[in-house]
Amino acid sequence: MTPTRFPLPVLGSEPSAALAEPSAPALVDLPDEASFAPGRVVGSEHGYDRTYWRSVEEQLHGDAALPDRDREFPLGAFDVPKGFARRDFLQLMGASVALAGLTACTEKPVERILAYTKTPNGVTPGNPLHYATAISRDGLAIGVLVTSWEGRPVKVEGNPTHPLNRGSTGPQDQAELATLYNPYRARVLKERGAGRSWRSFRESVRQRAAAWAADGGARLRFLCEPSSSPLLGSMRAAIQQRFPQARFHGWSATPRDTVYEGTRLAFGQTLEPQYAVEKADVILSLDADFLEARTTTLDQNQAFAGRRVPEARGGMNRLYVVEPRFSITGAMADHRLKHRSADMEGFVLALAAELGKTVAGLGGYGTPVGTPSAERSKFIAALAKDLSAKRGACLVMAGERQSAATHAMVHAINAALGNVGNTVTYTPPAVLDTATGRAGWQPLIDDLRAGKVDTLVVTAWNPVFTAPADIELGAVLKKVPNVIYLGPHDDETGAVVNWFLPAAHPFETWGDARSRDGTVSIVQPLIQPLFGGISEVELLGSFLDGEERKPYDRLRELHRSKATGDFDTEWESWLAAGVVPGGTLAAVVPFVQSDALKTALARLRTPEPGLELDLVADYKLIDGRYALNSWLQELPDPITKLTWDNVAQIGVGLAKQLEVESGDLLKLTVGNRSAIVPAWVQPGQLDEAVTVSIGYGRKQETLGVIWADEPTMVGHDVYPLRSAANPWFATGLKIEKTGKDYTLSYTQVHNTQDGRAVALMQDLEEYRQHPEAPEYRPKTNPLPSVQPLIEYKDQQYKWAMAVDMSRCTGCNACVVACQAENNIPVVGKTQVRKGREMFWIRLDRYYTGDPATPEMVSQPMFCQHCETAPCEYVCPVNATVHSDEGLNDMVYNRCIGTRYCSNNCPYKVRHFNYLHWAQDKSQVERMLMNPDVTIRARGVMEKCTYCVQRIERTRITARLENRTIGEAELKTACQQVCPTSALTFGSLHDPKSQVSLRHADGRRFDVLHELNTKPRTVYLTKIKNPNPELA
Amino acid sequence: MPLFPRWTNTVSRLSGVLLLVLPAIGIASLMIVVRSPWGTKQDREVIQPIEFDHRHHVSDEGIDCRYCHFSVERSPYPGLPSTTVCMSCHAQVWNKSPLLSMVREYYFKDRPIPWNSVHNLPDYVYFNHSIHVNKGVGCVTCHGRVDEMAAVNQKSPMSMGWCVDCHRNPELQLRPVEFMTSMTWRPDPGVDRTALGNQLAKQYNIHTRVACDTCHR
Amino acid sequence: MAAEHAGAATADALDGPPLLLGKQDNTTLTGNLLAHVWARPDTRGWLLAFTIAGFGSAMLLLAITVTIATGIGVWGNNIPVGWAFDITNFVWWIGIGHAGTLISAILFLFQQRWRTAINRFSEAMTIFAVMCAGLFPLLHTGRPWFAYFMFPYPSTLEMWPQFKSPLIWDVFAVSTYFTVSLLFWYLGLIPDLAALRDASKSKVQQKIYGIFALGWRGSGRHWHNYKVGYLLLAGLSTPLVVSVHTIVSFDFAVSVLPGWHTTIFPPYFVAGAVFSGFAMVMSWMVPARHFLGLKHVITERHLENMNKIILATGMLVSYGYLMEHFIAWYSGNQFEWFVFYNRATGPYRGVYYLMLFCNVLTPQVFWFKWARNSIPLMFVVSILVNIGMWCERFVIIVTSLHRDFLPAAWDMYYPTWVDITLFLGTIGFFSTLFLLFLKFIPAVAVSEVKELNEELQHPTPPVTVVTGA
Repeated sequence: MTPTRFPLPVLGSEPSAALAEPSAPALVDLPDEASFAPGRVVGSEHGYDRTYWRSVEEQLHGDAALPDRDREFPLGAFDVPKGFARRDFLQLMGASVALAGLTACTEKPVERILAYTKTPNGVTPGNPLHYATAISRDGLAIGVLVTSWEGRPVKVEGNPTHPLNRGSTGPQDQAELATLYNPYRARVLKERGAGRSWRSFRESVRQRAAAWAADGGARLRFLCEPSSSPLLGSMRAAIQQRFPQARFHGWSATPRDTVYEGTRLAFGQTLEPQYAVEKADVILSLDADFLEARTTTLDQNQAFAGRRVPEARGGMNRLYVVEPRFSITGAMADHRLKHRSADMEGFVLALAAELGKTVAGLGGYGTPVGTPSAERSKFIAALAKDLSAKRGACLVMAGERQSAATHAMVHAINAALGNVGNTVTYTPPAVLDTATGRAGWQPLIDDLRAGKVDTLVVTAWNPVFTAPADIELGAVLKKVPNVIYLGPHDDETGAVVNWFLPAAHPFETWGDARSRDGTVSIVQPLIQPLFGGISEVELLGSFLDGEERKPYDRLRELHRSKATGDFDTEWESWLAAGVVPGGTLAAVVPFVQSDALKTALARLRTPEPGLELDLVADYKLIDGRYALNSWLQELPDPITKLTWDNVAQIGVGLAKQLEVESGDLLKLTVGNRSAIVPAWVQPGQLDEAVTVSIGYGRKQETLGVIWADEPTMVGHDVYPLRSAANPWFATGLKIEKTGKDYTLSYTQVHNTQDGRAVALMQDLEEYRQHPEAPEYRPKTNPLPSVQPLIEYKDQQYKWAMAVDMSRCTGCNACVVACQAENNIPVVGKTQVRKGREMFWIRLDRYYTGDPATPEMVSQPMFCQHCETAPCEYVCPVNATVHSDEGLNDMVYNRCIGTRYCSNNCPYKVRHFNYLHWAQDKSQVERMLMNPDVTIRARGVMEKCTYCVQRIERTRITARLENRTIGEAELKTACQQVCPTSALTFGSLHDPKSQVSLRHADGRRFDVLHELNTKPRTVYLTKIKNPNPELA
Repeated sequence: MPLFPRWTNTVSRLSGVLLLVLPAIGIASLMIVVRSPWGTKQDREVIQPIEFDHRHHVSDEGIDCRYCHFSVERSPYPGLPSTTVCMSCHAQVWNKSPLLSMVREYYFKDRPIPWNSVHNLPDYVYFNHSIHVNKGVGCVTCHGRVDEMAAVNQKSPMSMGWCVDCHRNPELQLRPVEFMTSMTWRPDPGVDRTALGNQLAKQYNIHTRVACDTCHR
Repeated sequence: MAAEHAGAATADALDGPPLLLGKQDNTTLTGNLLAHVWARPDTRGWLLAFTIAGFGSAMLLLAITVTIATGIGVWGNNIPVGWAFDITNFVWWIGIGHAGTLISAILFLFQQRWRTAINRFSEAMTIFAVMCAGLFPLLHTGRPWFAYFMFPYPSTLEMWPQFKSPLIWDVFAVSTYFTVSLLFWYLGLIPDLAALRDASKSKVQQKIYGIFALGWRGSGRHWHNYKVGYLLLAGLSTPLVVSVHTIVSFDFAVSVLPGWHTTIFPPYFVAGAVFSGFAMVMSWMVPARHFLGLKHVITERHLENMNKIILATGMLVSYGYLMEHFIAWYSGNQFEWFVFYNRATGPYRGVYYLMLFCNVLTPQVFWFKWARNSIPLMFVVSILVNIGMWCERFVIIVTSLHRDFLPAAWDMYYPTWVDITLFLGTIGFFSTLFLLFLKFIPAVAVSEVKELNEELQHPTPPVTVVTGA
């Protein structure tokens, strides 16, 4: 079959009518241009042989050029396909532009095959290419490899050669694609709502430039997204040079300020701490969620997991966590102390005091404030003992939510314990702006209020939405004569500015970025801007003198100096490797300036007692920038398992006291500000604190989306509760019950194992004493089975998987990776509520122990590929059968959808297409589909396939070279991204393969082994390493 | 006069028989139809937007299949010649020919030529050309004598059974890879086809698979 | 009384009340048994009932259209609850079908004379019930237009169905069952159709009935072949009575799911089937007998015997429940036991207790003779039993599925309007067919009743014994 391939979206400047003579019948098959930027004129951007478009008003017929918004839905709309599914609802393959419908009863229409006019270099139709680029958040980058099919990026994976993340990625990085192909991205450059062209924008800037030149740009300000890009840095410098009085301010809703302020307090210089978690035997995290898979923490995830197994070199590490909410890190902790954020300074001081008894250089940092609980004292005593026993091999970290003082004290403690240089080193920060919080923007706000600014350029993401309530940024901006906003959506900020510029996605532009350790990566475009977006580089470029220059040229010029030999060759190799050598920052050895620190600490005030509000960055939407990313919206929260919503997490005790149940709408009030949020009773949540994640509650009109039968808001907005003074937590929280209920959709209804041996967890000691827990191991003498036992010896491969639950943090990276790789549909809030979510990986999360202080075990559950599979013998049509290599094949096109297989699956890992989820996708959304995987029709069953498409591709490559598949070249999507290497896949015929070793591991057990299903996916018991003194 | 005349007896008996026979005939004929060339869409000339004559290009000009179908050895898809490939010759020869006006039009308008696909496997079938052609399955084996087709049509039934038959015992379909694109290759007279097949199968270390995941994903 | 009992004077004392009331002869029997077929004047009641039932069928059609056009998603089913109302209804209807064949075949072979008056009735029910049941296996598939994959035919895919799957067994079991019952029923009809033909007033009617009577003339040879054929079919369908529901029960018993994976299912399902079947026959016979004036052929004796059977099968079912729970506990299997614990205490416990009340408690009243003879009471009981048996299937299917092995996968099932419409719709459809049957075909096997009458008056060994022996 040669399916119709998607051409590079290279669209002529003239409307498609131009070719509409009978001689060209097939143009109907071309992507409708409304899916892409409105009208365009050709302008060639070299460096990648694609043409590059800009909109001009004469071609832009106002809103007519925009798609009908009432009909279209955001990627994976909220609600089910409405009305009756069309007859063509069978497989629509990602690559095919014309969805060829075929059923048993209808004649398949003739398919078009579209060939390139000129095949781009290196493109082999049918074989994907991988491009190395970088994704950054808070300005800090990781290297990624993006899989591209004939110019369509369809999969993001970590770049194995990047020193920081070494191949792993987090959920958001994976989900960037859903953002890229979001049909609701802004398409039109507007001045006060009216369409304008890029040219006319540059013209307007040029006119004003004269005035700025006069006063040195005193009335020109920039409010920037945090960035580490050397290119942007150089351009800012150039602008400063042209307009010396102009100012750049950083803006982030999740600022890392306290980290830098902390080092400033402790060492007198702004530094970036670099934690060598792998060297730490004992780790103390003060609300530092370093196990969440973020661009800043991926290396720490790997390092931590490496020490999390009993056989680890240097022994298993021990993790203490002190935090108010139940975080991913807290869930992995060996000991966890629930503690108000407000009292964290007190805790550090108390710890310092305790350590001071045995460790030199920690005296006189002031006494613990407040009256510590007995529990805390006990905790600190044991902790201090543990830490001082491991001097130089322990590590204390503080979270970004915590105060600078806490951070400073942490540095002091690390220094005193001799960790500096061992488990923690310090480098100059890689980011351009170390002040993206209040310190960064307060001066700007004052100037704006004082009317000292006439032009403000906003490249930060949606500040009006993310601003603390008490600075009323919206109102302030309205007063500024000329505000220019570069944003992905025409959102809350777009509404108050007079120039709105649609932003290009990082995958659409040239640029560069640095990661936390300083490594420089080139950001290269994978596709031309789908909606004619503009990059920050181009925007800043328009403030510079002279002709417009392509970002590509600026970039090459900037990095030319780095080349040691022939630039062009090296440039190509940098692009290929995704890393520019020589970026890594050299460590500096700072010294604690204890006096300065002491005086600073002396100013600490005792926090008033009472209920505390803790705002946290959301595990999925972060600060709200992913609100239109349906992959992340539907992704179950790693702890609560909630989808499409945020909640006020309330401790079990407090809930009982207030008589609140999950789903009750609460009114949270801090000072004079309040917000309505549904309650969620969260085991492990501190009773003196309520945790709410930010970023939800975007009103749909601000997103430009109208969905019919769904709530007008996604979640609830808690930014109003934020204050400029302390964005993260505030004491004196008041809770009122509104008496109303709110429906929440979550994917796990029952939270404990009910005494069933499903997800095993042992203490290290216990495990050492009996390394075998025989009752859970597969029987040595296999039980008889009605099903014929297949002999797999004769086969070349024997595919299997192993999940190390000791490593798994439940970070969700695998879930999104699987979704991207396997075209898994998003079903929407209503359907999730009905129990019809389609994720092939279900991250089962079980609590054990006392609900107030539970332990948590996370168990990725997906098709176990049982050798004697209960699903197979009940299927009446042989739609699910065993392959000769032990895969449990699911044949969609044979399936008639009796659902018997799912009923008979003890793991309930099969998912049924109750409705035609893939129906009515816009052209843009279809570009996201992986052409190597069938898109499932309505009424068929689906499940994890061990990424069979990857197996087959690799097999063919290997067979062409007459060799066997190597372990390294074949990885399942989930395994590839896993930041903790919890998942391994391979052939059991290779005794040295990771998977074979894990299958032979003492901790190995089969889930529901008593059913004799002989699963190919096995699990390794989770081991914890508690401190006997706290037992 | 009786309620029913004599002849109705025959009618009733006949209808009894038909009651049994008709369904049988119905089902049988369905079975035949899906196997017939009409059912499999075989030998059906597909009219292309541009009259491209394989006979001319393959036999007269003797252009190798791979010149246009360039990725057949490396990719699942044989590769469709980009318009540039057409123009690489037709910029010189026949560059004024009205027959090629559309080619030029598409080329200069930078539009893909909308060819009609002839061999249309369902989208849930993942066929890989490279592995087949590299293991000694010639073009002609599945596509027939393209060099004799004015408008290309589908020669093989392309049904699952047809695929599986060959996957169960491929030997008789194998040929030396150097003759992959040859339309006329025959084993030398006197050579035992089966013996040759087995020998090639060993040489190319062929082990065909029939597990579902071979083609369905 | 005495005068009335004259006709039954010779009836066996043990038989209790007579099988026929009043002095009957062929003319009177023919007269009043065929009467309702063209009794035009008093059809207002029938029309009313028919309109209601017809509306039900229309709703069914609507629900089917919505389901097929939109997808199973319009139902409440989800993962883990892959089956719910759909298969519940299927099993329930199939069960109801059982009374018919049991009465007509097994009781016939055992020469239970009292079956004669009611077999036509219940056979008709069998056929209609199986028609309703047959809808669901087709509807519940995600892609019904591919359902033909389930039949073994030489396809160009060179693929065959999976013969290990109980669903395939179902396909054969149910279709065979339907075919045989249909033939059985039709064969029994032939003499009566002939009678109708002869009694028809208009030519058209004569022709129509004539065609279906297949030229029956009642000659000795006809009767002989008829008897032989009838006996053969009876023998043929007897095993089916047991086999069908046994195989339906395999749908569950063959799985690994706790609450399904039980060896007791086959007998327990068959008992349950007969139980519900008789209840359904009762629910229809009581009114029909009244409105069609059949009191003299369907006597209290019939009703009482049926109540006895309801009681007996009810006890069997109760025993089934008992054993299920006992084994679940005795097995010491944590998952097994939890399912039953969850049935009694879980979110669906209401259905569970309703089931126990209807199926275990209510039949007990039939220990008392007065209860067995009280028409209103037996009507109520029969309705309750029908409800109870539906609940049983719901409990077995949904409560077992919604909480199985891995707690993280547990979820709830709530029916949607389509689910409910489909269920009620089938009841409407069933009633429609049944009312048509009452209107155009004698509800009682006239010829057999005449025969019975003969026997009662001058007892001679019935023909069947001769041929049968």
